[in-house]
Amino acid sequence: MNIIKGILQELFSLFIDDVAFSAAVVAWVVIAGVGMKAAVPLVYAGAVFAAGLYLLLIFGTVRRAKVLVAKRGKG
Amino acid sequence: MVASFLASLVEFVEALTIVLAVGTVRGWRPALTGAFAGVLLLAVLVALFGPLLTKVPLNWMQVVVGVLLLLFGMRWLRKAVLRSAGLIALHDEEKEYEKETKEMRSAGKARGYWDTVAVMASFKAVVLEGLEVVFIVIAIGAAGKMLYPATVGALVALALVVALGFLLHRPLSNVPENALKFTVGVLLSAFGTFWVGEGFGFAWPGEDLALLPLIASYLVTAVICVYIGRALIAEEGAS
Repeated sequence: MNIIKGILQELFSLFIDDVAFSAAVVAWVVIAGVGMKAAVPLVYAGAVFAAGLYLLLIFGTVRRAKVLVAKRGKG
Repeated sequence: MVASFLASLVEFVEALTIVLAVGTVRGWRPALTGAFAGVLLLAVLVALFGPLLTKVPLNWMQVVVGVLLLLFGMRWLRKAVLRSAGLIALHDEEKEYEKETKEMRSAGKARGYWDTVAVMASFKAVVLEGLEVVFIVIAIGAAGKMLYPATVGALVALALVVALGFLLHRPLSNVPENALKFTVGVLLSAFGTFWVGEGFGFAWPGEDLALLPLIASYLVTAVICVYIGRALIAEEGAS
């Protein structure tokens, strides 16, 4: 039973270690899927979608970095 | 094949460390039995789910697998960035080996013919590390229609790690794990982005060639994040 629990936990943590970041990525994908074709010509849609992901990566990583730096300061 | 090979290399090295610790302390028969059983289970998962997923409509497959690859790839990439910036410690195979060796010694002597502690430790290590490999092989295989090249990449990595393990009999601590995870994170994030776009019907200029600027852009973005991380540390040190 412990092994099954371990495998299920491992499967979950393969994709999500920061719930807020993962939720933001999924939300951007949904927005892209629903709204991008109407808002942007298809030839630019990929670039806009990718740019949104780069920004999420930067903000998400910097946010995590600030938390880690703050922990180092306290510790 | 390259992404599959590199990702598999990292995960199998981690599994090898644990199997080596188990084998050294509690004996090679239970260690290798557990490892072999783990590899068999992983092969069954690939054989079952790989071809099954190709029956799902391609657009849906690309979006779902693309999102999973994005989450997985960005998780690896963020961690690799934070390690490169010095904000979290690099993974140390020697330390893991010592920790596992200590655990195996403290588990007590084997009872009966099978040392179940050793078999289960080895089995669990191979399955848990191998699940990431299985996901990458199936994801790349299903969305990119490259199941055989992805499988070959994983098998080559497995063979290489097993051969090195037999030859050296110690953890492969010289493998540049963080550099590999950085590279795989960039590749999988780019593939995920591309396939989500394909699934949604976006017109990628140059079609498959659009992967190259995507890979380059993720690499640049990740390097920027490393510099920001280091700047934050320097700022904290100065204040």
